[in-house]
Amino acid sequence: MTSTRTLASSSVVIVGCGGLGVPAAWTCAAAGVGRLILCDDDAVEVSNLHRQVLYSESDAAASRAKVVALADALQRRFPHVELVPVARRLVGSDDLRALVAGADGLLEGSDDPCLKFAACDALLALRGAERPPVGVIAAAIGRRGQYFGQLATGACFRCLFEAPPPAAAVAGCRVAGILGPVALEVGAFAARSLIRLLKGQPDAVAGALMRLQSGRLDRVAVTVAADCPCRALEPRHSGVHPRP
Amino acid sequence: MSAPAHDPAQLLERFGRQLLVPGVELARQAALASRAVVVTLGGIGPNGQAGGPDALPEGAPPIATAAEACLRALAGAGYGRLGFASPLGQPIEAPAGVEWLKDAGNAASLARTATPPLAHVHLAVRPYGASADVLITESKDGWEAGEAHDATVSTVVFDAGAPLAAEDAVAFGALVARLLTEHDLGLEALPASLQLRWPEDGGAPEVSRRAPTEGGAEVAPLAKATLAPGLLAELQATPTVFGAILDHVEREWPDEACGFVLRHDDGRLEAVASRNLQDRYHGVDPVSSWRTSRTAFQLDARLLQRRLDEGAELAVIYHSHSEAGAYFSAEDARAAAPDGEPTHPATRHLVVSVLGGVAKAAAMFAFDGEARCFAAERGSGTLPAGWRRGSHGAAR
Amino acid sequence: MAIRIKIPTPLRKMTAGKDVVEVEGNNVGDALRALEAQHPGMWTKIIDDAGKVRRFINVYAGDEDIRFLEGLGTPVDARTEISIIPAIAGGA
Repeated sequence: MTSTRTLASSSVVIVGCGGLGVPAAWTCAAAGVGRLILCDDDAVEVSNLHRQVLYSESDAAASRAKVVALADALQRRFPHVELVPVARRLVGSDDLRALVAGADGLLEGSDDPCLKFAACDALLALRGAERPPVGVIAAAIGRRGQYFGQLATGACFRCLFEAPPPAAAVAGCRVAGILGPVALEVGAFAARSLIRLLKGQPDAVAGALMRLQSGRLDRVAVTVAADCPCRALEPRHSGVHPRP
Repeated sequence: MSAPAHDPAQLLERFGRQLLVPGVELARQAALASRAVVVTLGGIGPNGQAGGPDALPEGAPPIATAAEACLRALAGAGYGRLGFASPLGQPIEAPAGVEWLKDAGNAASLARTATPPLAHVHLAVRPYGASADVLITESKDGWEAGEAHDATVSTVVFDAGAPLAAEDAVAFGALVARLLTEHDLGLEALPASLQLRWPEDGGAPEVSRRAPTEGGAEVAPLAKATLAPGLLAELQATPTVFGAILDHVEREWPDEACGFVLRHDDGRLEAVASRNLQDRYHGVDPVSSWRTSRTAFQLDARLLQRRLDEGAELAVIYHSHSEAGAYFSAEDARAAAPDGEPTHPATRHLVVSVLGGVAKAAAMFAFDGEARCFAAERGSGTLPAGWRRGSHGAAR
Repeated sequence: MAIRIKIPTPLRKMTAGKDVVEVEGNNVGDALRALEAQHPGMWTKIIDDAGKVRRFINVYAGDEDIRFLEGLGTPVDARTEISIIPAIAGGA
């Protein structure tokens, strides 16, 4: 296994540099991913510090952009990783697709449900590409979290959830609360799975929802939904077809 | 660096509603500010990783990254006093808002700076992945005397079939921090062991928890030492023997050390240091031997047998407790008398408390056949000043 | 072929005081089953419900604990002495 060499020439897009994105990016950098594209339009706030653990008080005091502060923190620890900060709000799946098109992996860990669907759609749109990227879409709240692995074939995030919930129904961490170490654990577990996929190692996250709750990590296999738009997309380079 | 917040209202103002997790009292989160956690590393090879000279990615070795992730998660959770020491020598950036116990890059001096409530988290690279030994001492009572008998001991096994991989590091550190935080917030008590075994096919890990085990003989509290002064006093009057034991247990810290004392025909006592085989047993079967050398010992029985075959008598079995008191633990009693009957009824047990790498207290125990429990010799407890490091060497 | 099994003091009350019992067998498991046949009750003193050597009991084939060999499947012959030795262990 020439894992580190392969990873060194690969790039991963991190969508959201908060409670999940920070440990995910940290895991990717530690594992030896060559290029990390960090996307977030927020600045560091004091209220982030209990779960977004690579930011400092001075980052918050100076209202530094999260992507810049995170790039700094990771560069100090891992001098050889190339960090590309994207400090703007991503708009829709086309925007995301342009970022992911040249990448090998995508980790979505933002608190915006719309971005999770945009990540799903961007990955679907790239299923026909020469080297389709793989993605892991993660979320956490309270003491639990979950992450879903979307590959070049098989079920997509829309097979699992039809559409984003209405904005009013979204209980983000700002109101619902999260135990700091849980966010770190979920983000890191999600990125661990993504790294394994990038290395070509088997991982339970492929086409499945992993649920972390009360210390248990359950796997829920997801099948292609009968009415999911991903059915229309036949993978071009793979003989594997979704199970009807 | 700002002082740790103790006031729940202040905490809420600072971090907002996201601190409000169902089932978690804010006051308990605020109380974490008074708790100390010291993280140390073990099982590290010359290239910073156990298990061979495989090329590692740039940057910190995985076990050091795990330690930093654990510490940062704990700082975020509200722990007020944190410390880290690594045999690799490289520092980590102090997390914001904590009292950073960085007395030196040396684990021994680091642990000396922290007082209970204290958790010592020892992360070690293992052939199967990594382990975390957590030892929590709640009370300051009897701490310096090494008498405190309230340690919570837990071993976390992260079994991925190979030494800790770089992509496992943050996840492992976060997992350990989450377990400790949930314990200290009263959400879920630490089990005697928690094991995650990742199957080779990449499936979800099998998770098994082991509740504290039952069985073994009863133990009387050290404070009620009932046995007449005897072997402990005799040992302390034999500086070459007692000094050798203290040197041995201090050398092995933060692992536990073990050995025995023989009495020869002429009455002469001889201390024999054994290897602590616990890590070897843990390495081949972390399920059955879930503890590591950090919190357990297994004496080399063949060495003992060879020495006994020469005709000497087994007077004392000794072992140390690292960052814990000189008590006879439930685990000690289970091992010494698995069915309630002592395996070596005529042998006494010496326990030495080693705090921050220094032997602080010693207690001698024997099975009291009438009371049906292990009891201590009077005179057990804090070592006389003359027995501090440096002085017993001169006495030889 | 006869295999010698050394019995530790605490278990000798089950072997009528004998410190060595000779049995037939090609591996440690067979030898211990033969020991059980001669001295009923010995098996459960040594082996737990899961079929593994009990906690705080060590079984040696020659100079090595069978946990580091092939467990109960560890082959033995007339030159191998099996020793049952209570572990000297414990912890904080």
